[in-house]
Amino acid sequence: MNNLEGHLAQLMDGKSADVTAVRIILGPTELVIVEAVAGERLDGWPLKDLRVEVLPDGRAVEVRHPGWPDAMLMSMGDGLTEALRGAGVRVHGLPRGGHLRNLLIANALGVIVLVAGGYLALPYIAGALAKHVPMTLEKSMGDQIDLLLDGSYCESASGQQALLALQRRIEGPAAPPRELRILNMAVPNAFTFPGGRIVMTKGLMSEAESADELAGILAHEIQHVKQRHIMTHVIRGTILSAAWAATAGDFTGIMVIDPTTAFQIANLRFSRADEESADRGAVAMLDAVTISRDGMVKFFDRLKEKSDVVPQWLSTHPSSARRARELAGPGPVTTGKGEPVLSPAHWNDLKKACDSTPDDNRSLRQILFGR
Amino acid sequence: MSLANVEQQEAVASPERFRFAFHGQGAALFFVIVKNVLLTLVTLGIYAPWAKTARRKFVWSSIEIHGQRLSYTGTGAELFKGYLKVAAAYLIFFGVPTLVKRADKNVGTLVQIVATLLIVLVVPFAIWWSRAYLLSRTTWRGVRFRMVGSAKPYAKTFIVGVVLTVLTLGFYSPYLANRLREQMTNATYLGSQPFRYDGKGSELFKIWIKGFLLTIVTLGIYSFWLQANMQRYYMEHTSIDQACGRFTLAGGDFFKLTLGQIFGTALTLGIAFPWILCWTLRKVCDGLSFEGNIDFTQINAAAAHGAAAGDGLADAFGVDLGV
Repeated sequence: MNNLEGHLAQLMDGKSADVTAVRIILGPTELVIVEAVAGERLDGWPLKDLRVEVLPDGRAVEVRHPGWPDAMLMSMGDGLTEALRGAGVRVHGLPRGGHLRNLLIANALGVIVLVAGGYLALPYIAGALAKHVPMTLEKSMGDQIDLLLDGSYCESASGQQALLALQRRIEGPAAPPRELRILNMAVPNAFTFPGGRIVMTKGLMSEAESADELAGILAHEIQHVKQRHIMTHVIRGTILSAAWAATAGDFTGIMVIDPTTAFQIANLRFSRADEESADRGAVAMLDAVTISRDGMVKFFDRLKEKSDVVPQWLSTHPSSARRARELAGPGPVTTGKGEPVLSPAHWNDLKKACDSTPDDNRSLRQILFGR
Repeated sequence: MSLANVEQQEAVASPERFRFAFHGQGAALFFVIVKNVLLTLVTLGIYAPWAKTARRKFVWSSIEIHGQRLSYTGTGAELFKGYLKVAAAYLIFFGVPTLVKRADKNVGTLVQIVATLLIVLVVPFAIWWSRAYLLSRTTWRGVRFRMVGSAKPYAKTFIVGVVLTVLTLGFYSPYLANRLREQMTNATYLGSQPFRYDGKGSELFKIWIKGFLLTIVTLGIYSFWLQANMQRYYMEHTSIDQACGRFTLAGGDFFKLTLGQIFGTALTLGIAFPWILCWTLRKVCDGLSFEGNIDFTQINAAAAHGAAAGDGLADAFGVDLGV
């Protein structure tokens, strides 16, 4: 055999770290390995089942065979790839040149379509899934939060009765009573916890100027419960986090700007959509029982001075100005008629519900986590 | 490297300098990442272990040491099985305390505390097992790397060391880093040939305390030089056979790399990540080498053990072993 025949390569037998310079000669059915200088035949690997891989930089080529699991041939190209292809051997490796560009564009388009489609479909998927989560399970989550708030509620039986009266006025006398509590917190706010508990703060009771205003806020929170927004939020966040962790999560450790921020901002958009949906639902409820939505409009009008300092795209809620605008128009604001929203006695009970409880100026985060 | 060069070096029984080089290109890595993201999305995350394997194969096979490429032989399937085991363990660790808590709140809380402590204690084991897995799936010159010995002494050093570091307000940290490096390196083999680490905690402490003080004085700027000095110390006290490690990157190089990473990722919203990673690896590999003699004829293959679950565990804890 002519020892200048074939393709130059290095043989690593997998038994030791020694490397042998060899030549590869392609026969009709086998790849013959001969010693580079002396031309002595060292081995022969059947072409069938050869595993050939061009390394990512396109220069080096690895050749293996399952019959010799630890051995490997390494060639620096030298026409071996083309010769192997010509012999009918499949060559693996990253695409190159124009093929790489086309595949890259196709893959990138696929990613864009999937991400955009997933993003648009996410609220519907999460909403549909949330409806199938048993309320008892959601309630057990809420109970955990409730444990942390133990001792932070205003314990006023008359205030509690007044809140239930407000709920019955909104949902009708036959509606089952909801879990409604007043939290001893100075910041005016209202929350819905997993499981359906609605919490309004002492600050909100002080800030509200009429029962109509409180009715609007309670109707909004009731809508969060009815539309299962809390569980939807949990599921949405889980899907987004899982998608992130499964795709590019590997790289967050070395990225200076954490790209999860993009997902968080994306989630805020959904959160704002939930708030708008709860606003719309609340208006429908108020209209149905002829409670003026003036109260809600006035409340948001007053709030915009204090709360609209964060750009809307970074906020969990739409701006108060926008909410007031959308609730007020374009249709006519229904004027309340018939029975008052709350009796003067109940209104008085609500305003004084926390009078016997010492002031607590901590935020919800501080109350929940102690910092 | 041409075959003629290799032959020449093989003819000289023991080459004197073993240089590292990185040949990966950003565009190719970008393709790997985009394809990974697409397939992971299409399979609702199931492809993630295969994606990780593809990325590792790319990086490993792009690293050349003295004319020979590293090779990654791990598979996505084994990583997937490893992840499933870790997920099952997670369910047990978090599920059992929740179930017990439903039956008895106090016992449940106690079980929860014990489970949390156990999870924290598993961290050093995860680091060790993950490295064992990665090494067992890495070959050079046709021979596998491997880890020998048990993870227990390493875990003991880790846990005691973390406690001592807290008690000494961080001043024990260089001693701990040195001890952990020593245990990890001395357990590492290329086939039958062990690596050796002979660094001293007291010497590393001197580098660290000087760097720590200068970092404060320079408002953090010296931290790049501290990082470079520590890495140089680690490498220069690492050897295999008669060859000793060298690391030539200086603080200025670390500074440039960090700046490049910050601006490169920030200005492109992360799109330039593959190019930045390749650039970083190229720079790091350029600064790495071993000098001295290695008798390759005496390095024989040996069975390597390493379970993919270790890699899954390290992943679950966010332990980044780097490349």
